[in-house]
Amino acid sequence: MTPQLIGATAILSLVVLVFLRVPVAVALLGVGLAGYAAIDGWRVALITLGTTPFNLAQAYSLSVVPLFLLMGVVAARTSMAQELFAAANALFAGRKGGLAMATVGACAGFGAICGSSLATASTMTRVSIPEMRRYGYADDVAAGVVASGGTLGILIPPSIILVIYAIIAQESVPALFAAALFPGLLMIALHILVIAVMARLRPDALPMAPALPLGRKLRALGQMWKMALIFAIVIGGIYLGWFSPTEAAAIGAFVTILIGFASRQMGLRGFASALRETIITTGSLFFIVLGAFVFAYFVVQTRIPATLGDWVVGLGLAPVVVILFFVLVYVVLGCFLDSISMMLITIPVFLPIAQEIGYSAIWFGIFIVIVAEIGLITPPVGLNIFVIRAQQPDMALGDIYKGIAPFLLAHLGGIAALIAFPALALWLPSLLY
Amino acid sequence: MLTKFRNALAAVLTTAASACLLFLMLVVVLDVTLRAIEPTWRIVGMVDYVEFSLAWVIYLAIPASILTSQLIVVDLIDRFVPASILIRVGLLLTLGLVALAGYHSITPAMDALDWGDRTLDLGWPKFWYWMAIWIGLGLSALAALIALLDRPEAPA
Repeated sequence: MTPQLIGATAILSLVVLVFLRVPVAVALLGVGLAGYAAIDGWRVALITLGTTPFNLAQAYSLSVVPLFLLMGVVAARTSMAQELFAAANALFAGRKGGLAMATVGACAGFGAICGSSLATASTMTRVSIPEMRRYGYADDVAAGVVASGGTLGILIPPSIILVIYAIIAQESVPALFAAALFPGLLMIALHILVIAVMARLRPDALPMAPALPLGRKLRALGQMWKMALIFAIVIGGIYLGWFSPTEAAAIGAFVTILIGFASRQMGLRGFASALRETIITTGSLFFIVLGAFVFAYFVVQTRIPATLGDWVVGLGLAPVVVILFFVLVYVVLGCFLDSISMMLITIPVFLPIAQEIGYSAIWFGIFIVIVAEIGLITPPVGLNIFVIRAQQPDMALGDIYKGIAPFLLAHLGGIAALIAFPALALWLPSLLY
Repeated sequence: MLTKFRNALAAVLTTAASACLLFLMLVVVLDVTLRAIEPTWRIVGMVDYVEFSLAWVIYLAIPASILTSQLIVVDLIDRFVPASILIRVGLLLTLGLVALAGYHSITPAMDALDWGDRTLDLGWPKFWYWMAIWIGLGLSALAALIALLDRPEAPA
């Protein structure tokens, strides 16, 4: 059996195991080990299995992950999301679809410090859906806005998924954060555009909330100082050269905790619960990263990426055709796998091919994250959909799916723009680094 | 009885990992604060402090996530096959693989001890990191075993 055939068999086995409900981390670890043994023998494979945990234990740059997780979990336990929503609403009130636009703005802002789509969707479901329903928004619109807006959280820096990508692809975290900024803003703009079009086509489904007087607008805007402070410290600190990503994450988490206690929105019990949630999420994430390390070593041994890369180049296909093929694969995989698992499984194979056909690893990271966003809102495993449904059980699942459909256009538009104009992601990092 | 032990162990692990995470955060904040006051004031060995506490966070958090049934899975097949059977298969594989990884980490760990490998900044023996790995992988195997013997489908 050639290494390439072993690799193909192993990748197929991985997919089968994952669908047989084997934890993603264990499937990656097991298939990586068995595949490595099939190529280089059990002795070498077991040495790799025994030494890989040490590589994880000494991965300094991964320290940002639990710290950003803690920051997001604590922020979700305070009133920051409500304040952000009130501020965004103050800006958009008096326009058709204003509440929906405010929800998108609040999702993006909250996602910026939270770093997790699920936490953003979960928080904004509690904050904005009742408000939209109160003003007579159709259920499908309210659910669609939150589900799709919630995905903006994984793109707007600081983003946990980008940190993990940076480790696997051996890229700079600040450069990836910089690369995500304009695509993130573009995604926000596209969401708002979709809402504006919907408000014209279905005015009854997106009624206008009354405009606020200037005084109330300014007061509402002033209330979002906590969020603005944390964002300024974390992102500003990184780009002004004050902090490394790890330092920014530690300071961000610390300030968020201080704000939680000082504003009396979080007590010791709430803090303990936030820590527990952070640790459990950290455990499940890092177990997958451990499995992905072993799997990635194996994929390198198969030489599949190089073979596929040579094959693709030999076919003489336009690079964009290959990238469109990746979009298709990710959209299908995203229907079944969560974003991080999908990314960790595919990067060892796809990234070298993308680089072979001329795309940079930075661009590819942003591309993967935008495509992975779609997976969060497509059935049957659209996690954001389930988060909304769990908190709004009276909403029909069909309504939620229907509400998401128009926003898929925003995501596809974002992907098309990124493919057509790679500078969207590459310009800012090239300017800064 | 087993469920109580499972819950208690998960609580102990999350508390210990939380303490390590708080230490990680505070030591970084302290270092940044000291440098902001006076650039020459810095905590020597920050990389070692961060990596060492992170190692404990990771390897205490993994068994905690196994105990609380929070490993990421795709559960599409649940409607066709009884979930409990598949969960048991998954736990068996988890148990086998983490035990295997733990066993095969003994040799490189002992090599690190014999050769006197040390960290660059503080000169800490690298064997200390292996302790976190052994304890974490050992506890992960124990966690998978407990979850297997307890009602595996019920989160603790």
